[in-house]
Amino acid sequence: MSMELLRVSPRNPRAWKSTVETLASFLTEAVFHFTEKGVWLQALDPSMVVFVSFEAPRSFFTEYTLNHPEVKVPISLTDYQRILSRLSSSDSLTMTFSSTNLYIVMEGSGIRKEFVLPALDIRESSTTVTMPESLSSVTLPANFLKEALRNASIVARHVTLRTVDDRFVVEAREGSNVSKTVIKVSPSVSIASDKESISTYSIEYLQNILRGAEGNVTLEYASDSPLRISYTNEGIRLVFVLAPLIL
Amino acid sequence: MKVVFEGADVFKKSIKAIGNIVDEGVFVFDEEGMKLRSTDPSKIAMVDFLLPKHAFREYDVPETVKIGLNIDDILNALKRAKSSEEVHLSLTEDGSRFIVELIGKAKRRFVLPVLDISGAELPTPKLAFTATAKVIAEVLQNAFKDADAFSSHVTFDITPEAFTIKASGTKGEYVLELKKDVHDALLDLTVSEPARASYPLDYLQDMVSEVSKAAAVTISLKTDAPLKLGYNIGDASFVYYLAPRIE
Repeated sequence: MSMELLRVSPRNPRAWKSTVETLASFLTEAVFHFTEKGVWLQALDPSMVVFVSFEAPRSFFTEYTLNHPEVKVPISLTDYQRILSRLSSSDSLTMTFSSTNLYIVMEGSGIRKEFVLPALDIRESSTTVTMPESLSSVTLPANFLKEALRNASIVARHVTLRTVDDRFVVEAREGSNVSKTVIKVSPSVSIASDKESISTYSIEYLQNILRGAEGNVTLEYASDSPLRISYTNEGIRLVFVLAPLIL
Repeated sequence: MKVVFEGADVFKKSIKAIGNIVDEGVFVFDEEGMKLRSTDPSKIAMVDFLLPKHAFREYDVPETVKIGLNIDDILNALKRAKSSEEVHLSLTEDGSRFIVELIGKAKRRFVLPVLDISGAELPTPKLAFTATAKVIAEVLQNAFKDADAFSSHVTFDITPEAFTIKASGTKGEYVLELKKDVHDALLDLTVSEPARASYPLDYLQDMVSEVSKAAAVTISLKTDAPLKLGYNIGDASFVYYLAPRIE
């Protein structure tokens, strides 16, 4: 092995695995940036439909050793996800990085699994996504939204999100088939909206975005504008910006 | 109902311009003329077509008629239509078949199945555009061909001074700039607020493929919102809406 630039062990390997699965549903390859503060990644999916931003603080890791102020790990997310699918529930996970390879070790119950993933030559482009100033904001439990999307997916592949006063409506229409889920303000749901916001998005993308969400999710959008979805899972922060569809 | 249109080639171009975006749709014949408003299956694009009543040599439509048709079926019928031919459109008595007759030196008759396409009529997207540019079609058609070498997406930027189309990728960058009062291909520029957004190139190419080179194409933008693109083919008017991509 050439010089070790990085050695990290997630405190919660399953949360790490789940996050990589979510990222890999949009990105085939990506560059993880490990810094003194923690690790981050930002990228647009190849079709430019969704912008993905991920960050995990240093405290997410039980071991976090860098030999440079910033270590970039450019890898195939598709392959990385396949490797992490071999993680058992009781396994610990340790990753080390040389300039050419990411070494992944899973250990538990007397079995040690080792994988080597080559580093790729990935050209990063800086991406900053601007959001409209006037936004509706809805914070609700992820399972409320997942349920609404499951209802919508029965009739269509697209869903219209409507925020009116104290109601958040998730509605799908395809021909004469209609699915409508109304979520009202409650102790677990907060809605902030200056004016009615209506916009349509792909259900498949939304479901992939929410794949790893377990706690609260915040949605921010204006009519016919990109939708920002953010949530934190076991200390890992994920933010997505999803392009709208027509109607 | 029975309608007669002189100049089968213009009619064919109109149907092609629809078929580039949608596979099937409901044609409405009413007091205004022949209309179709439909989105593509993925809801990325919408076409709003109107061939007004006065464009027909004969327009016998006593009451509104809605006819669901597969666009390829009509194009198959119109495949070898000549400009000197007339297009006669009618329904069989039981309304189950759509009849296309091409009449010139001979009479050709095509009987097409009517599809049962249910669903509420689509509303026109309510978008508050902040910038509009009117451009010669050929310049747009060429710009999209140029941009195709660099990216699958283009970014439109309208300021009070200029309309810019930009494409960038790993192979390099392409920029088309049309300055107000400098470049003749920019026929008009109206800006209440500068606007910028990115769109998929393949859809844009399909939208302008049938319009004549000298025609004027109007593009309306709002930052990161769907665009509106409109033009005429003969008396037929086309308005397209296209969902943005994340930039």
